Amino acid sequence: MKDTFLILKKEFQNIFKDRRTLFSVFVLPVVLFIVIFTVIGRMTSAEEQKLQTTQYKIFTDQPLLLDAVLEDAGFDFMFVDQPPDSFETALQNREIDGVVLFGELPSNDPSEAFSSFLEKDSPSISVYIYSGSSLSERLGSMLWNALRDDRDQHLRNQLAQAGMDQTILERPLVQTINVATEKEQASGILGGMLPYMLVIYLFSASFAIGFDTTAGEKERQTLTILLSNQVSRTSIAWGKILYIMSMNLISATVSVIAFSIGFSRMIPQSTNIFVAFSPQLVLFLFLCTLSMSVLVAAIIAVVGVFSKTMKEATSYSMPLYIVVLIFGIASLQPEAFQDATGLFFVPLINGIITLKKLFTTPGLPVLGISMTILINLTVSFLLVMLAARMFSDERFVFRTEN
Amino acid sequence: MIQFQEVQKVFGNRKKTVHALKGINFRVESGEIFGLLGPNGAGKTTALRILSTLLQPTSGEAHVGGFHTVRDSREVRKQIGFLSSDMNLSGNLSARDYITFFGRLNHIPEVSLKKRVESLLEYFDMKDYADRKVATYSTGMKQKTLISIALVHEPSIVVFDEPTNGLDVMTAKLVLDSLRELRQQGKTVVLSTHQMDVAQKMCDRLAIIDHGEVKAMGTLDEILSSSGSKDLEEAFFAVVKEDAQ
Repeated sequence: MKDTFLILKKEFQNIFKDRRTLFSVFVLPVVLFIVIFTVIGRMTSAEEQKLQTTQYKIFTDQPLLLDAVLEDAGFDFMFVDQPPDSFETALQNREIDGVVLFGELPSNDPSEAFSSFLEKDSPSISVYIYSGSSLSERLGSMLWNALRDDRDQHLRNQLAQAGMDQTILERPLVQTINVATEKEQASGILGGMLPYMLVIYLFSASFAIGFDTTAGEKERQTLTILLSNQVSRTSIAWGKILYIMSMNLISATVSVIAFSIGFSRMIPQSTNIFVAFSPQLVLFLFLCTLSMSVLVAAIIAVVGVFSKTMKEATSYSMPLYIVVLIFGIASLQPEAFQDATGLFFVPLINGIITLKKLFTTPGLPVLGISMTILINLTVSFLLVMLAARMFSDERFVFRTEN
Repeated sequence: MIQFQEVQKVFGNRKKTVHALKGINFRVESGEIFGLLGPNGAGKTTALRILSTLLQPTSGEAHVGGFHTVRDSREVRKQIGFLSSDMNLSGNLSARDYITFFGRLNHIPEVSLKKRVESLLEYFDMKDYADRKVATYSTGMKQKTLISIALVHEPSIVVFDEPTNGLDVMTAKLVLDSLRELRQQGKTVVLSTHQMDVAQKMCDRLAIIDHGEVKAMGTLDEILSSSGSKDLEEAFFAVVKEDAQ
C-alpha cells in the first residue's frame, strides 16, 4: 500500500508541476462555463431588449383598422406605405417584419372598423411572418394576441347587447398547478444534466491523463524503469488507477460545479438549482460518482496497458465512450430509464441511471445506489487485478511500436 | 552470483517466431565485471531483460543471487540495479525527484536517502541541473540520472545494457569509472556492449553472443588465445565471421 501511495504521489508531483495541465483541469472549465453561460445570458437579455424596443415594420391593406387593433398592444410599430412587390421576398430580406391583410371593409369609420370587418360573410385575416427572423416571429405572436383580444372584446360586446353573461366565454376556467416543490423542480434540471455531464468529464479527463500514464509511458519508454524495480505490479496498477481516478474526479467535480454556477446565472432567478443538494443527496452523489470514477480509471488503465500507443488506446476506448455517451444523452429525457431495472446490473451505465433517479425520484434510491456502488467497485477490483497481471506480462509491457 | 542454464527465448506467434536466445549458459561470479559482447540483434538485451525479470525464459532457468528470476522475481529485483538501453525519463520531475522517488520505492530510510541522493548527484556531477525538469536534459544528463536511479539502493548486482551509448567522452569515462568502483566495492557487474574498447578495458570475463548463442566465453586472454587473435576486435570478428560461414 505504501508503494501505491508513493507512485500516486509521484504522479501528482509530476502533474502539479505542469501548469498547462493544471490550467486545463482546474481553471479552464470554470472560466469556460461561467463565460459561456454569462455570454448566453447577456445575449438572451439583449435579444429580449431588442424585441421590446424595436419599431416593427408592418404592411397592411387596412392601416386604420390595424392601428385601432394595435392601440393597446404595447409595442412600437410603423406601417409601410408602399406594398412590396412580393411579401415573401420583403419578409425574407427583412425589409418588413409582418404583413396583415384584411381585404375590403364594409365601413370606413375607424371606430367601427373591426366590428364592420367581422360582419362580413366570412371574415378572415392573413398574417404573413418569416420565422427565420426573431423580430418577425415575435411580431406574429403579438399580432395574434392583439387580434384575438379584439375578437374577444367584440364577442363580449355582442353578448352584452344580447343580454347574456359575458363570463360564459371564460367557462370552464382551466388551471394548471405544478405540485413539485422548488427542490424537486431544481432536481429535474440537474437530473437531466448531471449524469451526462459527469460521464463526459470522467471520461475526457481519464483519456488524456490515463493514457499518458500507461500507453504514453510505454511509448516514451519510461515504464521499464519502474517495472525493473522491486515494487509489486499490483502497487503499480493501484497507483496508476488511483491517480487517474483522482484526476477524473477532480476534473468532473470542478466542471460540474462550474457548470452549475454558470447555468444558474443563465436560468430565471426564480429557480434556485442549489436547493436540490441536501446533505444525503450530496453523500450519495459522491459515492455513486466515486464508484463510476474508479471504474472508468480501471478501464482506461487496462486499455492503456494493452495499447501500443496513446492513439491506439484512444481508438480502442472510443466505442465504449460512445455507448456510455448515448446513455448519457438518453438520460437528458425526463422520462428516460423509469423502468430500466435490468440496467442496474450493467457497470458504469448503472451510475448514469442511479444519478438520474437520485435527482428525479421523491425518495433516495438506496437499493439502486448500493447495487451501483457494489457492482462498479467489484468490476473495478477485477480490472485492477487484470491490470496488475498485464504489468507483469511481457506481451503487454513490451507491446510497443519501438 | 548469476547463473543462466540453457536459457531459451522465443518471440512471436504461430505464424512467425524469432529465436532470440538458443539455450545459453553462463555464470557470473560475485565481484567481477562480466561483459556480454555481440552485434545488434545478437540477444544481449534479451538476456539482460531475463536477468532483470522483465522477460521470462521460454525454457531453461536463470538465477540471480540464489533467486529464481521467475518464481522470486521481486527478490531478484531487490538485488539488482538495472539500466537498459531503451529506458527513458520524461515529464516535469527533476533528477533529484526521480532518484528520491526510486529510493523510497526501495524503502531506503529518509535520512540515509537524502545523503545517498546528494552523494550520487555529487559523484555524477549533476548538481547544476539536479532540480531542473528532466524533459530539458541532454542524453548524457538523462543517462547519468538513470544510472543514479539504478544505483540508489546500493544493489549487490548491477546490470547495465549499453551504458555508454550516445555519451560524450567525459560522461562515458565517468560511467565506466563508476563501474570500476562498484567492482572495488565487491559488487557484481554485468555489462552489455558492442564497443570493443569498453569490453577490453572493463571486463574480467567476457561472452561473445551472436544469433542467440554464446560463441566464446572466458577472460580476455582466454578468448584471444582460443581465437588466435591479437586483440578483442579481431577475436570478435573471427568468432562472428566463423558463425556466419
